[in-house]
This record gives sequence, C-alpha cells and structure tokens, in this order.
Amino acid sequence: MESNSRRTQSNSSMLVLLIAVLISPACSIWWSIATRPMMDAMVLGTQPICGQLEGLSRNQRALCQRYANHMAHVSEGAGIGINECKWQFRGQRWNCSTVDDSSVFGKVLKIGSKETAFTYAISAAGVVVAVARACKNEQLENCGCGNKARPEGLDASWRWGGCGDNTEYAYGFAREFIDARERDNISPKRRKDRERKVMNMHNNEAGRMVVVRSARPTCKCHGVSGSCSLKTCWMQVPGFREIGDELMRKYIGGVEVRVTNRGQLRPRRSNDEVGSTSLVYLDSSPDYCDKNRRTGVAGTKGRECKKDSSGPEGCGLLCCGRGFRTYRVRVVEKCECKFQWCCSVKCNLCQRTVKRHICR
Amino acid sequence: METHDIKLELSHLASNCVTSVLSSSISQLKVLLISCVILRLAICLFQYLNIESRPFYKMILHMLSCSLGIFVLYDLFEDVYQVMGWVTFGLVTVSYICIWGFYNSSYSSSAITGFVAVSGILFGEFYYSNPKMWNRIRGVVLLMCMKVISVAVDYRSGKMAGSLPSVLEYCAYCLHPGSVIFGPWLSLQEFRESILVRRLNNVDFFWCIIKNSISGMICLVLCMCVIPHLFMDPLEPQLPLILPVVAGPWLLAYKSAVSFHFSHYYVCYIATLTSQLAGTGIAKVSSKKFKDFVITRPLDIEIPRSMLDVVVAWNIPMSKWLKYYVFDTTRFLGNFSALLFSYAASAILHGLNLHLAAILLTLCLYTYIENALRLKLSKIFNCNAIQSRPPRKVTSPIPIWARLFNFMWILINLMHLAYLGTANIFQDEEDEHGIHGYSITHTLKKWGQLGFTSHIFAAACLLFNWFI
Repeated sequence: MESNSRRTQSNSSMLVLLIAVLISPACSIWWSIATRPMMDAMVLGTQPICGQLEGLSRNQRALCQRYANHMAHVSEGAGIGINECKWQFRGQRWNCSTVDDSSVFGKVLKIGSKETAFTYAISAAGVVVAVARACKNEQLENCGCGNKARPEGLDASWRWGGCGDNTEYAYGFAREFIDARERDNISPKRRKDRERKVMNMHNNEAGRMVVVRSARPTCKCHGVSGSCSLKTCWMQVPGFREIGDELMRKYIGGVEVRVTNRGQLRPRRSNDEVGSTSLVYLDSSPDYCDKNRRTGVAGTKGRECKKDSSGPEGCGLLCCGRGFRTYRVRVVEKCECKFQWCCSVKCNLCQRTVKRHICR
Repeated sequence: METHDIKLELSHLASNCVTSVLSSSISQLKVLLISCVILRLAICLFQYLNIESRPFYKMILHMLSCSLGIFVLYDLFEDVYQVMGWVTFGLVTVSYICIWGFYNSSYSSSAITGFVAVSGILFGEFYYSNPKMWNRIRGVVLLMCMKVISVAVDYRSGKMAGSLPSVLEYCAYCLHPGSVIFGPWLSLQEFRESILVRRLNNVDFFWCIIKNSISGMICLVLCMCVIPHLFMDPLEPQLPLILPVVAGPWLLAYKSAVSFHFSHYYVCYIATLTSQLAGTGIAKVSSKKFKDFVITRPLDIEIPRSMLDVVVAWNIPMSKWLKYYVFDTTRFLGNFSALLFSYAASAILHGLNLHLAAILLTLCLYTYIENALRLKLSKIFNCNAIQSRPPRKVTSPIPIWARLFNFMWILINLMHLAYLGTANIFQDEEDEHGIHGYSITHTLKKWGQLGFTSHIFAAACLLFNWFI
C-alpha cells in the first residue's frame, strides 16, 4: 500500500515535470553567442550590438555594453566549451548535440541532469580560458596592472586593479558575467526555478574553479650536492583538453542534491560530499535512447557505433539493442608520416575502404 | 594521427617557461651578485689606498665580508633564517675554539674539528626533525665544513703560511659572499691573497664574467624547459613535448640524469660567477693574462672518457679538497682504503643522505674497478692510451683498436651515469622524496626497474679483473 502511494506520488511529479517541459519553450542562454556570426563586428570594435544578441539576460546585456571588447572572447570561450563537450561525450548516448536555437543544446537543458551540469561547467571553463588567453596576449587592456578608476556599478566582491594573474581576472569577469543571468531572477517564484538557480550557480563555479586550479607550477631545486638552495618554478598552463578530462571525471562523480528551503545544497546520499569543484544535479537523466520531442532528446538513431567495443560507444549499448547497419565507406586518410627537417611532420593522403556501423 | 608541430611546441615553451625561469633566477640571484661586486670594489679601493701597511683596512674588509655574507644568507634563506643563523654561528664558533684551543696541545685539532663538523652534519641529517629544512641548508653547511676542516688540517701540518687567523678573519673567510652559498671551496691562503694581491680588471675579466653568466643561463634553461620535455614520458603524456618519441626506461633514466647534471652545471657557473666577482676565482695567482677559473667541465661529464674523469670534473675544487685533505692524509693505509675514505668523507659531507651515499659508494667502486681493469689491459696489450688517466705524453701513435676501446668505455660510462641518475630525487619538489631528499627505497626501486644492470656489469668487470 505504501509503495503504491509512493509510486503514484513519483508518477505525478514526473507528469508535472513533463507538462512543464512541454509547455515552456526552450530557454535562451548566453552561450548561444558562440554560434552568432556577428562577433566579427565586435572584434573590429564597432558599435556594440549587445541588444541584438539573443540569449543574454538583462544584467548580461548591461555588462556586454560596458565590456564590449570582452564579448568576442566570451563567444570564443563558449565555442571552445561546446566543442570540448562534444568531444568528451562523442561515444555516449547523449553526445552533446546542438540544435539551432538560442539554447544551443535544446530542451534537454530543462532537466537538471548530470549532462546539464556538465554543459554549464564546461562553458564557464571555456570563458575563463579564453579571457585569460586574451589577457595574456594583451588583447584586453583592462586586465593585469591597471591604474584606471574602478567603474561604477561593479559588484563589490569583484577585485579591481592590482597585478593579478590573468586567470584571476578571467575568473572574476566570468563569475560576474555568467552568474548575472542567475542573479537577474532574484527570488524565483517556482520551486523548480529556485533549485535550478542554485544548481546552475554551483556548476558554473565548479567549471571556473577547475580552470583556476589547473594552472600548476612546476618547480626544480638547485644547489650544491642537490640541496634546495634555489628553487625555480614556472607555471604550466594545460590545454583545454585536460580541463575537459577533469570535468568529465567530475561528471562521472556527480552528486545528486536537493535544495533546502534556505537555498543550500544537500547531497541526497549521506556518503556524498559536495565540494567546490563537484558537479551537482537535481534530476536523474532522461532516457537518451529514443527520440523524444517533449524532453528534447535526439535519440541514438543514426549515430555511428564501434562494433568491437564493450564500452558505451559499442554498438550494443549505443544502439540500445535496436541493432545496427553496416556500410562500406571510402575514406581519405593521412599515411606515411615522416619527420621533416625542420621541424614538423608531413603526411601523405591515402584512400581506404572502411566499414562503418550506424545504429538503426 | 595528428601532426606534431615542433616549432609550435618550442615557441610555447619559450614564451611560457623560458621567460619566467630566467626572470625568477635573476631576481633571486641579484642580491648575491651585487654583494660580490661591492666586496670587490671595496677591496680594489683599499688596495689602491695601500692596504698592506694598514691592518685597520684589513679589519674593515673582513667586517664587510662578514656582513655581506650574513646579508646574502638572509636574502636567500629568509624562510629558514633562524636555523641557518644558529647553524653557522655554532659551526664557526666551535670550530674556531677547537683550532685555537688545541693549537699547541698534543691532541690533533684537525681530528677534533673534523669530528665536530661530522657530528654537526649527523645531527642535521638524523636528529633534526625537519628534513625539508635540512635539505635547504645542507649545501651551505657542506661548504663551511670543508673550509673549517681545511684550516684545521693546514694548521696541524704546519702548511699554513702566516699566523693563526683572528676571529674576524676566520668569520670573514667562512662567510665570504663569493663562496658561502654555491661557492667553490677556497683555502684560507686564497682568501688572504684575494684581499692583498691586486687583481686584473681588464677586458678578459669582463669577457669571462659574461661567458659564465651566459653559460649558466643556458644550462638553467636546458635543465628546466628543454630536457624534461624532450621525449614523451608514457606516464605523463600531457606534458609539453618537443620530439615525438616515446621514451623507454633507459632513455628516461638518461633524461633524468642529464637534467640533474645541467642543474649542477648551472650552480657551478653561478659559483664561478660569484667567486670571480668577489675577486677569489683566479686560476693562477700572479699572471698577466686572466685565465678563466673553472669549477666544472661539462664536456668531460657528458662525454665520459672514464669514471675518474667524471668524478674529478664534477667539482674540481672539491676534488682538490678531497685529494689534499683526505686522500693524502690517509694514503698510508693503502690506495684502496684511501680511496674508500675519500668517498666516505664525501658522503658524510654531502649530508650522509642514504641515496647520495649509495650513489657515491657505487661511483667509488666503479672508478676503482675501471681503473684497475684498464691499467691491467694496458699492461697486457702494452698500450698506454687505454688507461683511465693516460700519461701526458703519448709518443707512439694510438692504434685504431685503442680508440675503439676508449669509445666503448664512453658508452659504458654513459650507461652507468644514466643508471645512477635515474633516481633523481632532488629535483622533483613538492613531493615526499624531493624536498626531504631521503628515500633509499625509492632509489632501489628505480634501480630495480632497470634490472640493476649497471651493478651487475661492474661485478662482471671485477671478476674479469681477478681472473686475468
């Protein structure tokens, strides 16, 4: 009897969720500016067209107008994040597929799943990396040692001026810009929106912190007979692939949470801990196997699978037991790669016939 | 398969690594170098004002040397300054009391001073509970012990020209900024000469300074940025990579050894720089032409003709010290025992670190075995050129087989060096082994990974030597 009532309760909440997903349109999110072609105009420094950018919230539009020269890098960063997401999930059932609207990933973002958490984190990480790179290449004059006066209206917690590391500045800017969307809605009326706000802010922060912590110094000791009289260090900045790998590890170790009335995150399982770089999620992931217009899932039909693999990209798991078709395709590949003096590797192009397996 | 763009990787390393390494090294060393220059300028000034006749000037110079030495120590060892201060103060005071107190007595002041120094080092290594701090100050303690023992032994044997040094002079000698931190060991005689004898300040001198600085910087950049990233370490594929070659265990061992060597060359070049700037680093005392002062010979170590060459060329002043003060005084016990004593003394001075002691013991055995074997073979085949230390004048032309034999020994020694350098625990920091500098198990594990090849080969050589 009790199990029945619990099942009906969970069933009704799922129904409510589905209705909510069905009725409301896909939301527009800031990372859609990655796919907008008008960024070149921004780079040239012409009239800021922040008003025309979809996906920016009200606060973000204001920040866009104030920091117009940063927006090209924000767009680049979002693009890096989206590409890395696609690469990391290339063998999974949900492969970070994009749709051509202002949410980029489609209606599947409405569900607060682990995958949604990953997309928020990696986009935030992409922005931090791109802005830090721009600072290092001196494309932005605001960062580094600045003597200019602190602009008005800046959030009090954002440190201004001084000779910070590029990553610090990029972190501060990314925090200001990305979280502005969540802060627009000061206290959302619906419980679901409140929970999503907390989850999104935590995942954004997780993505940014992974980048900040990834730049590590490599040091060596020098001295007579190997003692450590002198120590020389240099900062090794890893590529974005490493950051993607780290976030993927966080995704696999994602923590399911619930949000208390005060807006704090509590893990659902008592053993779990919510760290500053853990990815948190509210709902379990939907079924990514079959195409579902309500949840926005694209399904795995037509995906390429690997016949011999037993992992998630293998044809058994990826095609969800539906089976697969085999095609023969002629591919042009690099072959006979030789080291050329000096200093690159040059390859020839060869043609080959390969078998490809596509899910039904 | 991706193409590996070497130029891109090199430019990334150049912009990321090289600039930050060079700028941090200059900012760390500038106080030391400027102190040496100040001392030399003061010496020149007082020499111009005719120092020999005014002992007061000498006292001022000694005080200047002391205070600059203390200042330089404070600048580089700021975080462990208290420990450093107590250690140096203790060592200098106790050793001076030993030398002065036992000067005319029947007890051997040199032995007592040696005992004091050794017990200080033992205390630091085993009893003092912070191995990280001990690894920091170990270098300075080593140099100071060498100076102290040299003064004691010279006094005992009566080789010291002139009188017993006063307290101020002794402190100035021990804390001389040109040789307190990295510096070469210099004898008290050389120190006195640097103050009294006029040095040349000509173009040759400046050219030597520039040459040494550039060599030092090149060695530093190679050690930090180029060599660790030359081949791919299969355990860490995400590091920057210059040549798209995956390294096997022997190549990795060689890479680790060479990285350590270049760090040592960097330290030696900085040492020559400081000693030349302070006026002590001079090859010949009275020569019109300035000859460059050499502490290490990298070519002799990277292309090792014999292990004996490697050991001597590693640090020439230290080899001189070992020869004069340990080998010669224990020679009456026999050649092999004297050699063993030299290596034991070297191991003790290096801090009695088990890892270093194992390496030094191995080196001792290798030099002895190689020397004996090559000597015997040269007697059998009647050819002097294949010895470890061939005599200066080789009159007869060297046959081709002798050249091949020497080349083969170069390769064997390279293998030995790679093997010994594989457990390079001093350079990786922020982990247990590096800063603490003590892990015999780690060393044995690394040697085991290479199959103890080098030790087995040396044992085979020894057996071969006995059978002939």
